Amino acid sequence: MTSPPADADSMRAAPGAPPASGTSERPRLGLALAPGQVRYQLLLLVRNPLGSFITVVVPLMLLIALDLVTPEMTLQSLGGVPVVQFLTPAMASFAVLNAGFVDVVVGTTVARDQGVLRRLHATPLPTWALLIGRLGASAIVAAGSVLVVLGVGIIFLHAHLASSAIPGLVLSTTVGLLVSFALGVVCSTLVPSTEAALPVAYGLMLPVAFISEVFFPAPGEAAWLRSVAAALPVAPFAHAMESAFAVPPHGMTGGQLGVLLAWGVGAAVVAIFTFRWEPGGLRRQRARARSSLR
Amino acid sequence: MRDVIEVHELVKRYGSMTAVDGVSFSVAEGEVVGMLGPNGAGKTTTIEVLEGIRAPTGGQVRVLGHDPARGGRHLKTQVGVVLQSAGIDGALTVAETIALYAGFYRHRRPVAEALAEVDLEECAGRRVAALSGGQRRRVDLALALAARPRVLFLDEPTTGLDPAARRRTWDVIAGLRGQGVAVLLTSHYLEEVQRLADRVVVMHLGRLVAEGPPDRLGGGSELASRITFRRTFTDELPPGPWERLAAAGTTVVLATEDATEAMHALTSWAVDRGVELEGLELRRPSLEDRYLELTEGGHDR
Ligand SMILES: Nc1ncnc2c1ncn2[C@@H]1O[C@H](COP(=O)(O)OP(=O)(O)OP(=O)(O)O)[C@@H](O)[C@H]1O
Ligand SMILES: [Mg+2]
Repeated sequence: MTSPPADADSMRAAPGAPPASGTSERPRLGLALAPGQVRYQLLLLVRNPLGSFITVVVPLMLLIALDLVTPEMTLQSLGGVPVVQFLTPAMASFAVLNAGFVDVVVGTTVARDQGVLRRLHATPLPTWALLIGRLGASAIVAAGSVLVVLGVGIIFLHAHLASSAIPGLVLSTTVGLLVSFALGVVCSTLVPSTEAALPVAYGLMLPVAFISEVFFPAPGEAAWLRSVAAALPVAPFAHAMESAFAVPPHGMTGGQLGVLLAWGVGAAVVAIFTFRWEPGGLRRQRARARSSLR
Repeated sequence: MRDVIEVHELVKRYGSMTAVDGVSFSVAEGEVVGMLGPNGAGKTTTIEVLEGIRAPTGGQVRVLGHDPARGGRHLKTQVGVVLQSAGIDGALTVAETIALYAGFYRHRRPVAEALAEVDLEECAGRRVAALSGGQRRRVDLALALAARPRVLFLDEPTTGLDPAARRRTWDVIAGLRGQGVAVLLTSHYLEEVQRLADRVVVMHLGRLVAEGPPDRLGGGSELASRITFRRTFTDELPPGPWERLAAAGTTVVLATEDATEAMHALTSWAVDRGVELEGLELRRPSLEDRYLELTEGGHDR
């Protein structure tokens, strides 16, 4: 008996059978999915290097430019040290804010708006594994930018870093990144659309950075403004970075660590509960939630 | 066969707008159910409730015995989806994307096998951003199958596919049915549903208006054959064993339970009068005829 071609076609090998129930039901361990997410985010980073390039280049240009316009200046407020001693760690902290906060707000909002998060949410990928992926990529960009900024400051602009200050600097960078990241995730849930991501992120970060002595030391700052800044997450981080280049250098103070941890833990908790996978602004989300309660 | 998808009196409102209004149906293991309905009928809303993406306003839904909103990773591991609207990162290649998604599951399909199933072997190394619309849709399908799911929700999986790719997709879905996968599929291609579905549910304005096998859908006129011709004469048609259906322009459509007698009555009347019944045709009603009848009026809320 010969079968017509149409039959042969329909008899083509069926795709793999689902495994007997019982085995397929067991999800993969969430932890096992995290490395794949880091790899995924790094791939995206490598394929779209422009975003992270700006994260490195803007602080670097500011470092060089600000050093060029004030070459001979020394800083009374920091015990008479050259301005580059201030600018180098300050711009390194600016780079961490870019990598940990701005990039995260923009990246998460774009992925959400394009429906990428929505598609991932239909899989067994846990929220925290997705976030670990993003954090991993941010950490690599942040570490790279800090190394470049410090390298240029030390090698070309003759900033001095005592080797005893390095562990403190590493700790400050790590804490600063974690806190920025948690705040970045929270902030992304407030951003209504891709177009708003960058303005919202910089609109929040820059004013705080200005009063937190990220761009220039402000010894004459009003006391009340100083205490507002000290309670916000940027100043304790920037000051801890800057103190590694002070003469003599010192590390992060307990007070600074306390403020940062409070922000970090608070933001992480809020992030876990408010993380959204669906596109659209918060107002639309609320309307949706209301309608689903009715 | 066990029901693995159960929908009971499902209601979903968006504000004051009721998108799904008391819908009930089920899908068994190894069954393909096609969901038809005009734009805005509530198909995607129903499927997204079943996927756990949207919370229902009322009623109960169960997928593999779980509430989809609470089934968690355990349930998601066994469910494959093609969403009507979602995104995948354009910067990754097709193979990387499939590998990423397959990595979420313990029992994953090898990337090469997934690529072959959707005929995308040649595009394996291309970035998703560089694919055509239909090719991207095939990636969506490959991702749905990456899991070796027991339940598949396919929301317009073949929209934008060329005819060959569509047929290939039908083969894949038919193959999955053979292995006991439950498939809930929406489509605007009636031929697709006719070919694939064991059962069809028709939604209209948020309600389920008909349910049944694709060739005997909707009761009532199910056995009525259709006689069509163009009216190029002014004479009134004689009474006969038929019911005249609404039709556009000069086309006349008669529905009849007794085709032989009706044809005889009609043609002898025409011969006596000397009028020509242009384009005269007798046919069994298609799924499309029944579908259009069921969903007349009230499109696009
Ligand atoms: N997020 C939303 N907010 C408000 N209304 C919505 C929302 N999503 C869908 N709707 C409305 O619900 C109704 C049903 O939409 P749904 O997407 O389920 O239709 P559908 O049957 O899938 O249509 P199509 O064939 O066009 O895909 C529509 O009238 C739509 O406007
Ligand atoms: Mg739809």
